[in-house]
Amino acid sequence: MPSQPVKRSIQWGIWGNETALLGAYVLTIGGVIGIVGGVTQNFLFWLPIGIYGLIFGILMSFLEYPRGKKSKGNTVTRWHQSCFSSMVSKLPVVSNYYYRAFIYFVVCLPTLIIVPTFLGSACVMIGCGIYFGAAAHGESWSPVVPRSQPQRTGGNVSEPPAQPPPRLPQHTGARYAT
Amino acid sequence: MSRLSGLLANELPKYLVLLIWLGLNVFLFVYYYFFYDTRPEFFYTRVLLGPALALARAPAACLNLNCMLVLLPICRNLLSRFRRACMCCPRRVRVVLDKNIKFHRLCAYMIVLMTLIHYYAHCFNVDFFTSVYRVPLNSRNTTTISKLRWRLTQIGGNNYLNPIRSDVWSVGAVFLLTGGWTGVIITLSLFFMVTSSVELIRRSYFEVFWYTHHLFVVFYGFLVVHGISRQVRGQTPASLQNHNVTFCSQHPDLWPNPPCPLPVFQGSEPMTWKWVIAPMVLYVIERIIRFVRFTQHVDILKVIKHPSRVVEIQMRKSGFFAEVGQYVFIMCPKLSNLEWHPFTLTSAPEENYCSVHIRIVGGWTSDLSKALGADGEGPEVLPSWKMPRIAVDGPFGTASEDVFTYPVAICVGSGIGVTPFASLLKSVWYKNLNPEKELALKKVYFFWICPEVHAFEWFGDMLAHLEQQLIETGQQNLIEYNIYLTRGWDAKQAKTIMVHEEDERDVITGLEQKTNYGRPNWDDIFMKVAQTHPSTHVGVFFCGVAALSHELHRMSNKHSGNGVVFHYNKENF
Repeated sequence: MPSQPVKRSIQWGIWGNETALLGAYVLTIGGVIGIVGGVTQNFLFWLPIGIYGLIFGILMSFLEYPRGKKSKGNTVTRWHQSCFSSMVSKLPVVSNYYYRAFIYFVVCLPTLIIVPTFLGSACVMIGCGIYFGAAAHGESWSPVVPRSQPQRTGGNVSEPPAQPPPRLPQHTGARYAT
Repeated sequence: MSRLSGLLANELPKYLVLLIWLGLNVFLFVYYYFFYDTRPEFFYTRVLLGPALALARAPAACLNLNCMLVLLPICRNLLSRFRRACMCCPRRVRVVLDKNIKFHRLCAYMIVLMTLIHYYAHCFNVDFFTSVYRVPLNSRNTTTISKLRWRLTQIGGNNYLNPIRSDVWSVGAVFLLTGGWTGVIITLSLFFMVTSSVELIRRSYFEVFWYTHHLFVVFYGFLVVHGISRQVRGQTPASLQNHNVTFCSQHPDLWPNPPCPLPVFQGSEPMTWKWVIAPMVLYVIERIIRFVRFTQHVDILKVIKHPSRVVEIQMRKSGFFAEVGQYVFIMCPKLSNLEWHPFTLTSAPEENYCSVHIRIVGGWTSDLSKALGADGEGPEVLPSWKMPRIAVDGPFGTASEDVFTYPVAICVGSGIGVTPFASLLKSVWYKNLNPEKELALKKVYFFWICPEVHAFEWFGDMLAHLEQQLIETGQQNLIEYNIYLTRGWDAKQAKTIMVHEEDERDVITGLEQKTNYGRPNWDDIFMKVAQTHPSTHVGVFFCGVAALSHELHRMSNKHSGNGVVFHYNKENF
């Protein structure tokens, strides 16, 4: 009987974040398409839901863009996420994944009625499912604090050298005077 | 001028492949756009759908191409065989095969882009189909176009044009159409695959990426049946003969009486399966080979614990033979039935066993070291019947095989990236022992860049051994090795190094060649090599961090010229 491998903790919130962010992008573009179709072809409900999808798609992308802190190891942040991160961390209820999952789910429901925003909200809803699982796992969002320089503890190991290395430069033949 | 010849050697084949691929995509998109936008059999389809028809069909053609191509770079056995068959081809052609994962990703990005265009265009199409039922027909303002659309929609039986047969909600219509609900499944699978393939997820939680990526089975399964209901329809040639489209489209009230009998429509044949069936078969063969390799027996001969969390496994498998610098996939059923992890072989082909050095840096590797009994404190050895079963798939070809074809080689390894060069240097020594075979390779400049002292030991031992052998056979000039310690040293180390400055052997490694501190000056090094070896082809081989790879690539391009050409080869999985 093969023994169970040691379960490493996978932080599902990180994957939930990727899913919800990509879903928000698709929802935003779907919203734009909805507006275009609503204005040019007057398809049923495309214009109002398109506007709704665009606005909430953008809001959700703002909320999801800053990556949360990984519980173990170094978190690779997204490009220029620090301004988003500081804004998002000031909002209430962002750290709790249960609230996030529930709110996104409710927000996406109206967008399911027209086809262009259907895919985006289906993707965000899958993200909600993953967030729900992450919340059940005990995870939460916390902002990534930028690392203070320098990382090394003082004392033993020296900084990147300010003086020449302990070997003679290879071009000169001078003897090092102790 | 020197930059140009370097660029040509290193970059041209890659850009050529890229250009051809892009050209094919553009051609297919434009061709099928005009196909659906201008041909007479789709005239009435265009009456219903407008330009959205062509805008949905054009990306579909690109999707066919890319879904076919995306599977091929992952067929590693196929690539290995191709590379072996191409040994007579110039090196620059074989170098392109190194970029297989990049190409896979490129095709995947194109699939995502085309899927989005295809989906958004079809959003319009679905609503075009359903909105016909909502236009009031008996008011005085009903246009000819609306009447025409209604007539077209009314055509029933097998000759229909509009696949939506009654007034339904658009989103519901999506699920009524076979193309619709299969499309939803395909797109959601694609979405899952994309979100879990992000670099952060791949590096931090490999299992999430690995398991989710197997959704491609669902993707391809539903892709081949996506068009099965033939919902893109055009007029039959016979119908085009007896129904004058130009006249009758202006007079829908005359239908179905002559001169306008009802037009007859037929669906387009599903094409996708023709594109993807061959790569699917090839991939299935690839997985079968992997399964067969899984069942083959592997003997673990020795497990050696090295400092800085490196474990060496020496094993033997009957019928297994690898070239220099190749890699294998290792799987341990005790840990996980589905995970195969790649490792470079550190043994030379001339040895009677194969070995890998595994750095313990994640869940699977720590579990493996535990299973091998290498996580304990003392030098405890597990009896062979307690050793876990492992399976080995490979070997797979990489750039290092080519190293013997160059007269001069510069080999750079950073950190654990030095492993393929262990195999290389050992093999160079073995080949040198053989006096009959004349090696084309006359000089190897080896650079090992290390962030700290600790990573030296296992490789240092090997280098010391090699150094000894070379001196004994009078070949000490064959390999010139330079070790660079980049991260820093503390005051105590600095003092020790200074005191031992004049010693014959290096105080850190025990080698005759002294360790250098700080980062290498590549400009200097490349210039010196170019001056020492004019008019030669120098192979530059690298394994390690991406930043250094860019630097070396740049240097190879920069210093090529006046007869010297630096060919850059990067190792990657």
